[in-house]
Amino acid sequence: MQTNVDRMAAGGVALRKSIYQLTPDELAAYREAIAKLMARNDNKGYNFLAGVHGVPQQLCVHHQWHWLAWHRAYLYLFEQRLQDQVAGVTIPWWDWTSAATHTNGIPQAFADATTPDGSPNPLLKAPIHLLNPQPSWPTETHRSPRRPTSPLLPTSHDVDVKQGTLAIPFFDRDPTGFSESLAGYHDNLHNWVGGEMSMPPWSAYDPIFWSHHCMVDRIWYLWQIQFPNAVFDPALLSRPLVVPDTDFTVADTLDITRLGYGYALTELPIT
Amino acid sequence: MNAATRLTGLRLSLPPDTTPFSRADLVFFGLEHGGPSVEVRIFFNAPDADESTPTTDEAGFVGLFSIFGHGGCFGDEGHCDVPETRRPNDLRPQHPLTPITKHVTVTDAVRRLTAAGAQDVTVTIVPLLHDVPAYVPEELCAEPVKYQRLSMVLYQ
Repeated sequence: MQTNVDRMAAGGVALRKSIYQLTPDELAAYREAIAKLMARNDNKGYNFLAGVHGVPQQLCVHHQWHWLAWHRAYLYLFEQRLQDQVAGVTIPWWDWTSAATHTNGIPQAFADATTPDGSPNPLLKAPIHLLNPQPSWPTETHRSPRRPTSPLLPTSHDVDVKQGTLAIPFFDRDPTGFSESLAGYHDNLHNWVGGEMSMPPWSAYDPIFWSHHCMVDRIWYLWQIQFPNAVFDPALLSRPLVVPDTDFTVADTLDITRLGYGYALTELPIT
Repeated sequence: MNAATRLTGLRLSLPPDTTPFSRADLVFFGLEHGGPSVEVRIFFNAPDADESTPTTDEAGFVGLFSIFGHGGCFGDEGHCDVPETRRPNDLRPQHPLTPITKHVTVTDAVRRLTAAGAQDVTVTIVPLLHDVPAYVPEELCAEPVKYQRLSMVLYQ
């Protein structure tokens, strides 16, 4: 089986896969990369990266169209940091519209207390280390998911992951309308997971955050394929995105191939 | 799960049955999001709706949205205060806690009501708080849904 390392060595992009479809080795590599980031205390470590979105830096963008572009740049930075630790690792996406989630709730990869070798599962929770925390602030993440039958959990009717379209019609072809509708489902999912995930200042500390936003990014990508001629406001495209160690504008984020990743399951060359 | 203060007795006019529209939205303008995260359920003509009311058409449920709430202020004094005015040369992006607009699409419910000859509708808003962490100030939980204006907006 071709790996991301093989693909990247051949000049291709790394594939992001469903959390439900990672092989045991791929899941182990992702956990290893996360654990290594969590072991770092500098500005290349997990706490620094989570603190870009939330406390203390609080640079995240929501409720404006470029929230999708900002989070794409943010995931790019996080994925680069992962690959600094373990070659070829990508963020897996969590399809929360799937039958598996609507039956069993949070995927086992995030819910298991330990990994197969008996060590703590770094995808279950994360410590929150801050320089000057208030005594009441959280020191590690926790979740409080609602029932899989909760109306908060977006369904495959709400979000057509095959087409990258949303149940709310009419605005689908308009980037602003699409962005706002997708933000609503995004908000619902944060709220459904509960705990620190339900609040922007703390959500990125939860290891499930990255896979939730990878799903959001994937839906946006599928929408881009569906509506390749969507018209963007030029002023918006030139807007800079404030994410450390990057200097992207919104326009820089539109082509994920340039960012070195893709969502295709596989690519079969035609000869 | 616990329900915070419900908002009842809100009355909205409906369009005549002859009005052509492809989509009807309830629009919350100036919605605050500095408090806890909230699931907000909307019911039509169900003044007694609460957290236990089924989320079905028959019970008057028409939709929901989430407030992805900040959960309080995690900074020093004034950190989360949204400025009421801006200096002319303040070119920074808007404050992250600037109130937002939320749409809840209620097209099918409005069509059913207007087809039955209804001229107005009462709206009940049921906020649901779920396992709010202790570090979220209690005073923000009592009234978690605050907005400036609620309208019904129709699109042709």
